[in-house]
Amino acid sequence: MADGTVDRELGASPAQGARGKPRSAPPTGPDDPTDEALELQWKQGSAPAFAILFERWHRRAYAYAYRRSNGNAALAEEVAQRAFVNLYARPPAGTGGSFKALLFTVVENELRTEARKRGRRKEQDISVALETREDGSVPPDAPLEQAEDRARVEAALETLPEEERTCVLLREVEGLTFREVCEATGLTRDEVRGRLSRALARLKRALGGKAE
Amino acid sequence: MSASDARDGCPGDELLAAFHAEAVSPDEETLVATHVERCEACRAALDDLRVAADALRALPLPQPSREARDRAYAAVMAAMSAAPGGQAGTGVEEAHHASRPRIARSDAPREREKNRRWTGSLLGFAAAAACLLIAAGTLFPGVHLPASAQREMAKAAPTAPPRDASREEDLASSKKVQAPPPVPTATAMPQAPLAEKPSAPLAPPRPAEAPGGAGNLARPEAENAPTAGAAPAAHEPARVDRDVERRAAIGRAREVLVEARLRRFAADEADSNAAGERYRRADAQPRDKAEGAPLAKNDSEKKAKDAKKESLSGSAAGRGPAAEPRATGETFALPDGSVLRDAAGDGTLVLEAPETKGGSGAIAAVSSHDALSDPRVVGALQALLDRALAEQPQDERWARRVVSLGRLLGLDRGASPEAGVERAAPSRR
Repeated sequence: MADGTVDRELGASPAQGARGKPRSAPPTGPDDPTDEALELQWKQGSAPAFAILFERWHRRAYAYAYRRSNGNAALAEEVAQRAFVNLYARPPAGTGGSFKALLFTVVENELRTEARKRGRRKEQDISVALETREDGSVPPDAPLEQAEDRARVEAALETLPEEERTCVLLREVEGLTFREVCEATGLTRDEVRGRLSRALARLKRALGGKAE
Repeated sequence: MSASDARDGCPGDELLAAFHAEAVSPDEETLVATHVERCEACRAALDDLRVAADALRALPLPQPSREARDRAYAAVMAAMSAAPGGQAGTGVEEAHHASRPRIARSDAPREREKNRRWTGSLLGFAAAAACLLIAAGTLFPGVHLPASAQREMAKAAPTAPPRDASREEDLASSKKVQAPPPVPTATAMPQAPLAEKPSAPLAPPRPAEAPGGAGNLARPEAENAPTAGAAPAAHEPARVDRDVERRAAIGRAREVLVEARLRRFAADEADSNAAGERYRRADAQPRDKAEGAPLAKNDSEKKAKDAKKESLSGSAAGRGPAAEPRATGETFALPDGSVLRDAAGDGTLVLEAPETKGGSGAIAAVSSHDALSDPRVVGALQALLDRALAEQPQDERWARRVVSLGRLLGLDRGASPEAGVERAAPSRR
């Protein structure tokens, strides 16, 4: 893919708004310090700044790890915790990307590390996954149709291959730029693009009854 | 790269999806955008992709449990406290060790076996419980600091010393460090009920200094307690500071209670063992016809045991010989006519309010929610808590009083920490 793609995304991308892509971020007030300011202070040695970043982003890190691991709450907890602790203990020296991208990169690395560990142990943690499936599920008072849609999307998400799920979550849900997704996953641009496309196509098919 | 699909001259699904995901080059973007404008089928396909992506984003955000969040925060705090003086790696290890769930470990058979020899492990268990309580009382409240407190923390942050010299060298070469963006300044916030100055008779003494960790995190610039005439923005840091101190003290009080429970447990266990031994000896003794001798001995021992138990339980309840001789049924009148009563005489304060219906003057218990709807009551409760924090001795009775006041104010972690913070300073987020 041409470099122009990445360059365009690094700047403000007006096309995002036009395409109706809400870039989710923890709510912050107008007077709250930005993530960039806090990240800078944290790297200068400010523990309170990191505590604020934790407060803002821990839930999101957990949510990503939870979905990425197909609803394994115990794993998501462990991974989100490790991500923050490791991030604090070993902050990257360089600057450049957003804190969000940095965090999700660390979370993704932790998930991969955990997957390798579990692979070595040949551990099938089915019981945990089953027990925790209900975390964060549809509220009981949600309309049935909405609940069905959600269930379809969740099911489709779970059936996606791991790399596709990773790409689509980082890009569509967490709002990382294309380049950040590449960095977080360690995949090439074409690989990310292909996985994103296939994942979206699968999701579209999963919602076929409504969307088509 | 297939810029366009050969079929019907439309871009393929992959390119459309890439276009939707903004994963296309400018040339491709122009190509697809131009095509989509005049191709209804591709527009519909693109809409489907949007629907799918929107549905994905609309999924409810999974939320970690309170315990998981607290554990994670404790781990981060442990890493923070370990980082300045030592190696970063040490902090990580300690953090993960400190945050592991205790229940899982104590469930292990080997652990259970060890626990049977509780006399040896009692101190260790008490220490673990104390760590948990200290963490609960001092560390976690910082997580829920309101946005304004976060601003204060962020303002104070640049003055913190660097953790690592080598890291500083790295940072010194980066652009961000050379040109740090300014942190937005705090603005005035509406004054919350808890910020109101308590009435004069209940003016609180200076509470005990909070331990490090959360206290350091939330340490405001202004050290003085807020005054009624001060601007709301000046109130807030001191209020947050006091709340942190109160929470820390409540944590200490809970620690006292746990230790007392452990002591009682140990005493009961010892009594149980002694009783078993006595019965075995009694069975072994030759008995006379009336079986009077051994029984008489047992009676005296039983009385001694009962007296000891009574002493222990009385101490636990604050009414025995070990407890400070204080009047039971202590009451505190609150500004709205309700009453705080130490009905059991063990230090636990229960909020009671006059029955309004019928005007009978009967007393009815009210919930903390009702009580906190009146800022005067809140102020009075805070003043009582601050006064209690300065009380001596800080025994079990004291601990009950502090914990019950903290619970009423929502400062007790087990009660409703988030609600407590919300009451203390409603977040504008």
